[in-house]
Amino acid sequence: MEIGVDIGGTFTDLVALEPLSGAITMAKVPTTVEDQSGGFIAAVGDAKIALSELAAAVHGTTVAVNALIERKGCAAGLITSQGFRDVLELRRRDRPSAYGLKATFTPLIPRHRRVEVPVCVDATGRVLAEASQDDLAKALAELRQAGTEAIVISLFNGYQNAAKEQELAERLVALGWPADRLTVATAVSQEAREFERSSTAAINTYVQPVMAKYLTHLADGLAAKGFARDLLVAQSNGGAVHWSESARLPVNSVLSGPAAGVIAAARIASEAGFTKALSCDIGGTSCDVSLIDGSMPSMRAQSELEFGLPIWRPMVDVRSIGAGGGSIAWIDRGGILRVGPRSAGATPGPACYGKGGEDATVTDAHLVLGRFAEGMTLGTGGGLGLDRAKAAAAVERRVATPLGLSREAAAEAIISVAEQHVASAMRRISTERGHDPRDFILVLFGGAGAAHACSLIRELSLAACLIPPYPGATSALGCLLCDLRQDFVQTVNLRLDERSMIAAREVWQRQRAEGHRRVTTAGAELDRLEEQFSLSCCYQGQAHSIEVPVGDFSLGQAALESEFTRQYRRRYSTTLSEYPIIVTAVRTTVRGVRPTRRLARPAHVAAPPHGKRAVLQAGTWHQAAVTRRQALAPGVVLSGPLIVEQPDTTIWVEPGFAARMLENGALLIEALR
Amino acid sequence: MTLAEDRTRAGAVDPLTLAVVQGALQEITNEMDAAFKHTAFSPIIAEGNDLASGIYHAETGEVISQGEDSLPLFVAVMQDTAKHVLRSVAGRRNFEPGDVYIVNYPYFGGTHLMDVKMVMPYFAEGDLFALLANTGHWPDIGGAVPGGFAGHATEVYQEGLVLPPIRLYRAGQLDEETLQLILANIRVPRPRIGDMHAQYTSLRLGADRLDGLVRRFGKPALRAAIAEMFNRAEAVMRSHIRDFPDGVYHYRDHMDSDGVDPDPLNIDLTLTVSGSDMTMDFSRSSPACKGPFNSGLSSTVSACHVALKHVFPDVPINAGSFKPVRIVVPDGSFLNAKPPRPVSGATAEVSQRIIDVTFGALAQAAPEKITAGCFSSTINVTVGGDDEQLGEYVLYLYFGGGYGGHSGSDGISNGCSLQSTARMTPMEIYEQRYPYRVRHFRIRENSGGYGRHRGGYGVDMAIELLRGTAVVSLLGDRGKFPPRGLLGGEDGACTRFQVLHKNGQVYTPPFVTKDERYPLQAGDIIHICSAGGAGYGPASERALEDRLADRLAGYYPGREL
Repeated sequence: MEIGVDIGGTFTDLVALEPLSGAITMAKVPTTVEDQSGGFIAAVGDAKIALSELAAAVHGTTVAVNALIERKGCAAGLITSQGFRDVLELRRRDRPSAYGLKATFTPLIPRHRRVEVPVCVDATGRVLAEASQDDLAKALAELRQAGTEAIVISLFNGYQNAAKEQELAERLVALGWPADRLTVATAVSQEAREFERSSTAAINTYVQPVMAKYLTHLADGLAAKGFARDLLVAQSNGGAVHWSESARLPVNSVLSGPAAGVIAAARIASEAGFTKALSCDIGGTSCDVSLIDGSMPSMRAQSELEFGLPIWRPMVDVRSIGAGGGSIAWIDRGGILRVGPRSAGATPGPACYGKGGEDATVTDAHLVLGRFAEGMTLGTGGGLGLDRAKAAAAVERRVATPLGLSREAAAEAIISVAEQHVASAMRRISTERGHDPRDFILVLFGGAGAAHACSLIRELSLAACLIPPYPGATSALGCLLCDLRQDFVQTVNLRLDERSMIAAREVWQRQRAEGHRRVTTAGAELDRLEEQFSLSCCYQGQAHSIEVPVGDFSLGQAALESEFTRQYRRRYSTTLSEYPIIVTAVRTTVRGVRPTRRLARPAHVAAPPHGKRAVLQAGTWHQAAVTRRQALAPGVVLSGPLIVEQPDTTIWVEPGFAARMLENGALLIEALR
Repeated sequence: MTLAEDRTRAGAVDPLTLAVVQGALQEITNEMDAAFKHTAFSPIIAEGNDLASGIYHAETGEVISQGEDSLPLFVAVMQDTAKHVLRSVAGRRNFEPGDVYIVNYPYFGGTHLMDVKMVMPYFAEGDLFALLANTGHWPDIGGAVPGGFAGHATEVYQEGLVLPPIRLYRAGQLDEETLQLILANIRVPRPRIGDMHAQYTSLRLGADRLDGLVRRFGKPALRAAIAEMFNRAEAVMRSHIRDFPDGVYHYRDHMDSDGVDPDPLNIDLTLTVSGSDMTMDFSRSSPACKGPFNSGLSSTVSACHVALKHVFPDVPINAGSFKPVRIVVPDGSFLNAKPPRPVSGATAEVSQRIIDVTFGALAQAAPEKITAGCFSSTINVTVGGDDEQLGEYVLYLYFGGGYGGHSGSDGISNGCSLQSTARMTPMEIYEQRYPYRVRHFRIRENSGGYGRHRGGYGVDMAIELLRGTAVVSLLGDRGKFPPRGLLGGEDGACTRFQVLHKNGQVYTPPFVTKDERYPLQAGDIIHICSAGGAGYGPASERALEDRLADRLAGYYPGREL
């Protein structure tokens, strides 16, 4: 048995897989906010799993991201080069939003815990000045005096001389500072840009003690209950690592939840024969959109967690917008209907939860339109029944009356505006990468997603939409399915010639060796290793680089040059042959591919549609057949108007669309020709 | 369909259409921004975000939507660009599908010459329906100094190539002769072909998206919805103005000099609130100046609207929001530049100060809504040099500074220029690309005006020339007149620029914040301190814990806190 366990804001999801049969078991229990391991253990108990028989456990946790957002990390300290202690506070000349100057910003590490030592490294990595033992001892004493709990060493130009930072770290340890409370910036990120690299490293330091404590506690707890394997932890790059690595490098797990969802979406799409997909996870407060090409999630080099907190690490490109089931509909000062980004959250939640929510939300609108059923419960763990009268009253009061609309028209308007946000995000992530959304299918999940399938197909002219078998537990499924993955990026900035190719090969060798070591020692069963090498290149003086994949790193300069030129022309329909080509970074990805698991589809329980329900679409009430998803046999095709219900979501198939049950248990929705 | 018919129908637009059309038009311009930025060559566009995209009314040129990533200053500039193109074409020829005009004329619909605009007529089902336009900052546009910031220029001709609206694309084909004329007049011309292509591609994308919207709603409904969007934006702006007490508010601030005459320039604003109407009268400001601190009227007007949008960020960007505000700038004022006055200081410097002056006037009416004085000077430092390894190069530095404190909190440090969203290049990247070493890049201590909520800090940066020789030019401000405190808060620190020679001599420019081609030798250090923000409320009211934190952090060495 193998499990994936994902901690969400409200629920902890577990997906368990019996590898031989492919049988899947699920559990959903309330998240234990104070100590997430409580929910983990409870979910295991709920699914009646004996920890001693588990062959693998992959965990997606929000401990790191929560500590950051709530500013509950440690008292972190910084040691840096002379002249640069304020980099984290000065950022790069910006403000939180284009309009409005009443901004505020507090750096993760306050100034009195940012200390300079007289080290100077130049842009080529040459050391121009050293820190004496006295300098270091003084810096350390100052940080100790200020109550520092963990230290990050980040030198200006440090990316060009990782050994220097490492040496300082060793000297600090020799001076008695604990090694497990020390982050070396270049061990986290070795890219140029002092603010972004320092920020990434500072975030790591800030959450390190919290994460280390949590993972140690969890691993010990699991071991005490008989778990004999190594716990793996899901990362923002869509891969997993050994828990002890995650305890050391927690910054890599900050955006892991949405990334795992994309891994599951990619798998479900490829099983159904689609290699290009847009994945869209609509939950209670937000909607996460990603693009999958060649069955692999698209990656990005960095992301800004919030204003002034960039993370420069390769990660799955997930765009999050404030459009979920709980998003609040409101009328702006000009009398125009808006939806989100504010959400009613889980408490008080949408008006229909009956927990005192007064605002009209997207969920309330669905209920008014008959897409959600009166009295239905959201998720197996919740148990609350939706109250249609409360939803109707909220829609009436907050939207219909102020706009002079009928209650139904108001509800439809709320849905349309929310869908416009989602469609915009999907269009943007496609066109920015030079794709046309019409070439993609949509993989739609999250508790609040499936009601929007047909309108999103229509809005973006998508080929089709897939609803996974368990749309409410996709992140947990993604944890279960993810490979081990290590991404390395090192800025080099060399003119492309034979000499720089030799330098690049050295970096690749080093990155590969480290990747292999980490992947093969994580304690997971691996089918094979896969490696990808690439160089980032641009013409001298340009801002943006192009990543040029290098199949085999014995590739010579001429071949690389022609490959770069070819890609450049494809993208910009021109080349700049008179400018020299610059290699800006050397990249390696090592994946430890776990054995492919067959996923059995959920058991089918034959049953006729259990009734009809009036559903409003484009101003007309339709009598929609209502069926349980479990009742749909593979190969079955049903046309809209149709409601398909399952414990974690409700699927609305409009007139003019049909739903087909696929072999793998996913539901394919297409427009009728 | 006529404008009058649109207006009649506007009131009957259903709420859903209105919400969806407004959202869709916003998204179209957002996508245009993204497409432009991702394919541009100019690092100032691609990395610095110095661009804008918009949709404009086919008859009036008024702005219908501008991208949310667009540089704020272009909010009301670009609609004048559209008007300019409309006027120049009128009676001369008709727009044809596939036409694209290029223009950087600074006196109507322009900023500095480096901002190159492209305007494309958009036809829906055979009729001219709207104009699409964008603008991007080119690294060079010819003229006396590389980069275009000629601090002592006395005529626009020294600043670069001036382009009135001329047709660059005809039926979707680039006009090769026009192209060659432009390329022959600028430095490093080749990458600009890539920029033009990026600009054109972004306009085409906007047209494709508009096609979809026309198909979905039909032209009459779309036109009516746009007319109603104008009405609603106007209503939002009026509701905000109404919240200010009626009255006449006067505020005056000074710019150090125009770079040619040593005397200060006055920006003098009389702001009148009467019900839901606002008048901003700059009549008592200085007359046109000899140096490059003249501002075209569009740039002046746009800065006023940006200031209001900073105070009321929820006002949608379309021409409706401009209607309640009347802006008076007489001919002959330095804020209403006429040809051939030099203008390169307008975009980065004068426009910011207009924003700050507007805040100063509004603060008298409702201080709790406004920030105290801001740093308000980008400090454009251009260093041209010759290096044995690199050849000839131009290093361009620009700076953030402190925002004023406000009712909610202290101001932020190293904030972006008020009219801009362009971020600074990382110091490590400067060192990679140019023969310089950054000696320090730190908070400028003692620069934030103290107060209940103190101002944000300016930046203190020192950069050393390592090899060869170079000349440094400077176009900045705030060297003599500090950002002013609000409700008893202290003033922020002034801009400071120095060259620290290897032999120990210190050079301060005679004009303090303007200079042209000052020579540097290897080992010389350029030392720049940007201005800090001013304080909000008296220092005596600062909370004890905040004082202790300031002391612990060492933000104010030498001061009793």
